[in-house]
Amino acid sequence: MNFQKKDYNYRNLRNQGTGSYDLPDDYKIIIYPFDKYEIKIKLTPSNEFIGIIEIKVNKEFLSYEQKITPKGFHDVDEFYPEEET
Amino acid sequence: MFYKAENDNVLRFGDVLKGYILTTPNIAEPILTISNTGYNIKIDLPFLSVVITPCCSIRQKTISLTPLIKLRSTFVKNLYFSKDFTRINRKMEPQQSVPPDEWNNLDEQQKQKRLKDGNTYAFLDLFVYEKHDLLPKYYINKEKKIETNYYMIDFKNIYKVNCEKINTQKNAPIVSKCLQLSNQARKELREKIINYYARVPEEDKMLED
Repeated sequence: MNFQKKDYNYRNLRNQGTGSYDLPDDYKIIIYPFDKYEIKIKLTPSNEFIGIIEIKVNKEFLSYEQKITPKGFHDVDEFYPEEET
Repeated sequence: MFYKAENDNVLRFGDVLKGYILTTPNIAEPILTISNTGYNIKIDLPFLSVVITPCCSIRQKTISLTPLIKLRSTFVKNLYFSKDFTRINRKMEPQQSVPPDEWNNLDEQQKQKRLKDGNTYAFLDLFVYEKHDLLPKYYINKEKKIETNYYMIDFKNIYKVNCEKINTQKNAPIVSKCLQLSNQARKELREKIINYYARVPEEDKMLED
């Protein structure tokens, strides 16, 4: 078999791999935070709107205060009165 | 491991110290006129105190402490606690926070109300110090002659002491240091005291909604 040298060129092989034909040369994806959501938007290289790809809940939407606020406690003092020992 | 095997040569948050006085100002009512003299200051030399100033803030001749005190005798009613009183420092299930007899006496509505809280803290203002040879034993229950050398601190007892020799964490009277918490135990103390201050009162919650 007489292969051309370029047939063994790793970079060529990788660029021609499955899914590699859709490299984002002609668009870009940005994540736009909106309220408690994250919106994935597809734009052209010159920032023209192409479409919305995904909307998901931003799990970091809680404020610091909300994150550290305890979610209740066991109010059990009535069962353990202080007694003289 | 609750205590570090060897103490560092610095003062740290959670350290057990000896030799610091405890002062408690007492007033009959707020002093709003110059003629009001209904006040006094009680001074004690507690057996041992615990450092409540965060490590990096120990400086400028001032330190915040809270006295090491005996456990409540009624804690022995709960087997979950009496097996290891430091369990009081951590989150627990509702059934574990109530003595078994008392839990069985609760009606279904009260049980459900408590079960709704899930795994969380009880005794928000208390943190238990594990038994140690340096800590003397005492009767937690005299009638049943139950001894222990677990102790605790109450965040409500925090007070400030000015000490000329406390300049920094390192430049301080290390000779007064008796015990140092392990990193894990100090983390638990930090988390519990954060939780103590982080509670939002119901009336504030209503205003936010």
